[in-house]
Amino acid sequence: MSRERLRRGLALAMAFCAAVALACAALTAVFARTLAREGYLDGALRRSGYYDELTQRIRDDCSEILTAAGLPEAQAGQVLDEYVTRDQVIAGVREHIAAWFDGYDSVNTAYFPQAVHWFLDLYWEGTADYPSPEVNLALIEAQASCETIFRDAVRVPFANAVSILLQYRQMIWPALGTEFVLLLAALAVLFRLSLDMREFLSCAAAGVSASGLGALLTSAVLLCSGYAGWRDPAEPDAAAFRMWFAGFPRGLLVAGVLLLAAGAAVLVRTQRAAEPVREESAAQAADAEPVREEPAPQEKQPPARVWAHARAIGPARSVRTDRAAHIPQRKI
Amino acid sequence: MSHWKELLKNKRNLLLAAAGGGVLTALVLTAVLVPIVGSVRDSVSEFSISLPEREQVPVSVSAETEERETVKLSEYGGYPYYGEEYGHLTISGTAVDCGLYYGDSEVEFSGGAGTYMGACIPGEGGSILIGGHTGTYFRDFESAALGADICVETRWGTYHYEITDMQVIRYDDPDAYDLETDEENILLYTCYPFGQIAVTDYRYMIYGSFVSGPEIAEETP
Repeated sequence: MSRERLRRGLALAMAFCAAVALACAALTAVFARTLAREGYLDGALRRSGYYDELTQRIRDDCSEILTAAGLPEAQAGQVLDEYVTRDQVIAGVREHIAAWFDGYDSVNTAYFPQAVHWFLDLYWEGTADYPSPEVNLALIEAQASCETIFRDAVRVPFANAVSILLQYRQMIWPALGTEFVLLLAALAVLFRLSLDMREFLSCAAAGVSASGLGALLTSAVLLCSGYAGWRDPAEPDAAAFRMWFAGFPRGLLVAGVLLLAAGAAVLVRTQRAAEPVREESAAQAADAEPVREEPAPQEKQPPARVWAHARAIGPARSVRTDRAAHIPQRKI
Repeated sequence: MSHWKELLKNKRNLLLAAAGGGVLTALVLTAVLVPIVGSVRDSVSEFSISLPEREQVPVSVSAETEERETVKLSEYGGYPYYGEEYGHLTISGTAVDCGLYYGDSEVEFSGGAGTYMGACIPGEGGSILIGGHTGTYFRDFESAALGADICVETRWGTYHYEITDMQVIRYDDPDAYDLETDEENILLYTCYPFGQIAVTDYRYMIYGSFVSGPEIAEETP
């Protein structure tokens, strides 16, 4: 293998390494801004109508519990209007989400505080009678049951999926640092291998374009993975999961488009910068024509010393031009 | 447009290399994402968060006054074998909701909670030791509260336990739990602090006392 082919092969390999490092950095950055961010999850839950659906389900279940405990239906509705509102459901879910994303603080909020006393007051209003011990116990158990229902419902939605991804949050900054170092190293080696700045920029731009194309293809694979159907549509958080997960491939798509556009723009600019060089080469070739005519008789028997000198100069430049420029004419 | 034509003409090899590099880069990214996204897909499609039915709401039933039902494991497929998913575990008031495996190696922990084979299974009348990773299925141990219900659904019956204590212990503390007792109880543990990927020296232990569930009858082989 010639040295030139080896050089080009290594340059190609370095451009590919830079492309992979840049694509991985884009992937890490998109993950950090979407799935690993608390505000992003909260926004997806709000936009999907999850909180409304959850509030209604809690109210329906608690209403059954309370009426079965002996509380008249109208009074049960009063209790739920006080203790199960959309704002309280949102606060409960956000408290659990914050505990997962921000730190290790336990969730100790008590729900339905003092509800039993209110149950008894309402029972008295509804029936004008003191509750029997059985009804009293039933109302106490109803409070415990409603509190359990509320706590069960306001936990983090699609919790196992969130917890699986959250464990990778610790690796975001180390991964970005490693990818940045690899990118710089690949570019440094590529610069060293390049003959001139134009070649370096062309190879680097090709690498950036490759990373953009890779990110685009990966986002297409994710978008076509059927994630919209992973969650049972009957679940209250199915729409929220679709909206939450969709942000990741879409972010990767945007990153891929930006990288591809940047790479293509640099390639076009290097192409435009190459045009004056081609014109210069054409002019040099035209100027070199008269010089070729003179040594024609000498070319039949070229001296060994001349050819050795020409080989030492290198393959990129015209031997005849060098001869004309540096070697005095001599007759053999 | 002429610049693009010139670009395509003169940079043909470079563009082909960029396209090939793009495909290879996509393969690398996909190889990185496939196991992670696969875990997310499995966790999302398998488990439901539907609100508990009224019957599932914990009721304080005295186990001493009720006569305990007995079951024969031979009628339900026999004793669990190593690596088998024999049940489902939930803790009320938390997001803990996962499959229950017999065995406690990394293979079982990657799919849910694992049962220590040196202790008992639900219904045997002893200590049941179950572990899980705090980074995945046992992440929400911090939401567990005293008195909450631990529900273990197995193929031979449904068991309820009530949380009586929770504490942080060292992994090598021999006095933290008792596996020799005859009284049925459940012990759930995970690494502490919560959410850590790396192994730590501390464990978060949840202790549960038996509430209800069938007893496994002794069978002559």
